[in-house]
Amino acid sequence: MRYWSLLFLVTAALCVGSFVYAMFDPNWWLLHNVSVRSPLHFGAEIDRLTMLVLAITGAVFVLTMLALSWALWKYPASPGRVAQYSHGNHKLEIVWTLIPAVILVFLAFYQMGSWADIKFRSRRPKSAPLAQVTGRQFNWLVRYPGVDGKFGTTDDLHVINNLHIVKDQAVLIDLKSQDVLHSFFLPQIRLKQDAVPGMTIPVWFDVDTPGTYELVCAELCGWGHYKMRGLLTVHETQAEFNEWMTSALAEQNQTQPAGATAPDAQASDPATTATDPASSTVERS
Amino acid sequence: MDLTVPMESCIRETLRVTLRFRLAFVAGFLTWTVSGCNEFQPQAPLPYASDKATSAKLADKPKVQARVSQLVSQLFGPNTEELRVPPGAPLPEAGARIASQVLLAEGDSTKPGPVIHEAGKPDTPIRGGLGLYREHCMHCHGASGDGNGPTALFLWPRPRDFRTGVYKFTSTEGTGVDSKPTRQDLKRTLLDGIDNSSMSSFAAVLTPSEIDQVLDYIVFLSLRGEVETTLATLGQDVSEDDAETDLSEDVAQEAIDLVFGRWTNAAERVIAPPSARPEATPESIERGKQLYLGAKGLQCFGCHGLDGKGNGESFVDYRSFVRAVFQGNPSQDKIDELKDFAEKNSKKWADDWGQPLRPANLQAGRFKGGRRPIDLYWRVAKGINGTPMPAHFSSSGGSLLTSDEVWDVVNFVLALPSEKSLLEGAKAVELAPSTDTANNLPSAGSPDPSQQPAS
Repeated sequence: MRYWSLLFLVTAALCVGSFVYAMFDPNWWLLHNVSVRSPLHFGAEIDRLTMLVLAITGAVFVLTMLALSWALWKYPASPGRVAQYSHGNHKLEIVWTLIPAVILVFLAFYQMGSWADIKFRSRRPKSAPLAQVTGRQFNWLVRYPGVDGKFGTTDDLHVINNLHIVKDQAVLIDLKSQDVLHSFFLPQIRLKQDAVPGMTIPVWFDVDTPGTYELVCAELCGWGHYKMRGLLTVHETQAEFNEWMTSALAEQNQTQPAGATAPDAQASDPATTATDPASSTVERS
Repeated sequence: MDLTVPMESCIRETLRVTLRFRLAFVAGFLTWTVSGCNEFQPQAPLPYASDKATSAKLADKPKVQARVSQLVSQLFGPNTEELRVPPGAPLPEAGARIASQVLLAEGDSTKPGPVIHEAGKPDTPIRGGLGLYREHCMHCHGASGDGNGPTALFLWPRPRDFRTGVYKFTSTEGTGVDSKPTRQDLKRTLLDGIDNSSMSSFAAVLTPSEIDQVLDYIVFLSLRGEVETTLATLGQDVSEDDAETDLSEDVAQEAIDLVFGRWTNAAERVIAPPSARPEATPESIERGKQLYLGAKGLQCFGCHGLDGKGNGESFVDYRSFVRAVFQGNPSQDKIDELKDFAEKNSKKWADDWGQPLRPANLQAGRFKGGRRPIDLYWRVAKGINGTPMPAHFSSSGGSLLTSDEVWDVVNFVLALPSEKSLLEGAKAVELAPSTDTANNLPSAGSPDPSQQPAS
């Protein structure tokens, strides 16, 4: 029955082969990374760590599978062969415990700088937050502070599932949740951060290419989780961003039905004067 | 010495059993997969769920009821998958976008409608509203559009029942079924979702063309439901023996004309504020606050509360609401229990769909019908269809005489979330006797009987 070993060998070869193939097919590999040439380039950092871990685990996988197949080939079951009692091999056990331990400790220390850059609050951009993003079942509510730069005032811009930023600018976002756990996930920027009810969590990133990217929820948050999809729009210039902001604010401040023009000031004057005596009759307690 | 022989035969026995077992396992697995797949494929197209309110009207007239469903299925198709569009339906492309394939009336028979293709892609037929609705909307709004899909029970507010044709957030004159949403109104709901409810935004999920297709199908569900209701109402005056003759196809055509007429002129009935919005000055906000607190007979605080948190006294208190709705399952028993409680305490409790409703917490700054000033103008001036939120502008039957007063309320409501101190320690405005009498005239048209001036 030594031919079983070939099955294990072929399976291992297929696994390795699928990874090798995937690297050359953009539809199989990770999404196009758009945080590579920007100042913060978190995407490049994360991909570098991912590839390192993949290389180490890949090498270990190949060696382990070769050893397994070799052992199966070398020592097949045969009639009359007596099992041999072994108490183990201390040296061997120490070796195969120490090697993974060293690798894990190395990875733990090696990634610390990147983790700090991406997650430590002390490293966040010193600028004011560009927007508040609040997860709710099942939308991303985005709030820009408006002209006065303060959240919670009447000139705030509220948009839904629609985050706009400028290319190469470090963006700081205040992430919140209204109901349950959500996760703010920008796959093309390799950024993922849970949104926790009751907490305001800073998130910062930048993007090197203008375009429209996905903003999805990566934490199962209810039956509508799959609908919780927004768009991240990256503008080429600040002017383009301002233009969008102006038009979005105009839309939000709309005071007449679409297509209708506001009655001009002349026409509304009599109405205003008519109100004055009426409101003066109001008795106030 | 002897042991080896029975051992070997035993092993052979085991092997044979194993082999038979394997065969049985494979056969069983195949049967299970095939039958399991069949289980999820409905044997027949889903029928439309009958509307309880509609069938109650004809409870003692089975023949009339059968005639009504016969007429409706002739006009709109027999089940939720075979869709027919009657001529003159207020739908773009003659309703051809509601499904990948629809039937159009031609004389006494039907013919297949045109197949519509995606813009710029002559080889790609559109999916059609039906397919998209089944993927994205049906699990809440139900296959018949009755707002009773499998996930509906988890939600509060409950999903809309499209069959009644009453839409909450519209921009047009009238109340209930007469105030139809415009295409813009419906599109806005789909693109922005409804804040404070489980209706999510579909802007990043569907393409603009797909949004149009879904909207067509939703309007189709409403048209069908409204025609059914109209025919059932007419059928109440028809005796069992005359079901065929009195509910003729001409009568059906009249019902169709009535229902389609409400939809076709919606765009012309959009309310445009007669005056421009005044700037949100502290004076305007203060005037709005006084109106909110009862000047001119408005009773905003009766539902939305003196502090604007949606806890006014005319509504079922929070604790009873939560006990009835969220503790245990929100079954009909619980809702009836709550209704009894509300009636005993002479409180308003529900919207037209029979669901207990919470008035909005205005301090939260989350507006279901949209946060644009024009949205809030519509909410204040003409109310929210199907709910106890009444119209407040005189042209819609309310007590506010000028649109500037409506704008004052809008300015106040928009300012409240960022200036929470506005309502600190607020008391209801007590109307002096002189203003009270002056106030009687406009407030007589108020659709809400419980809106008595505070005293």
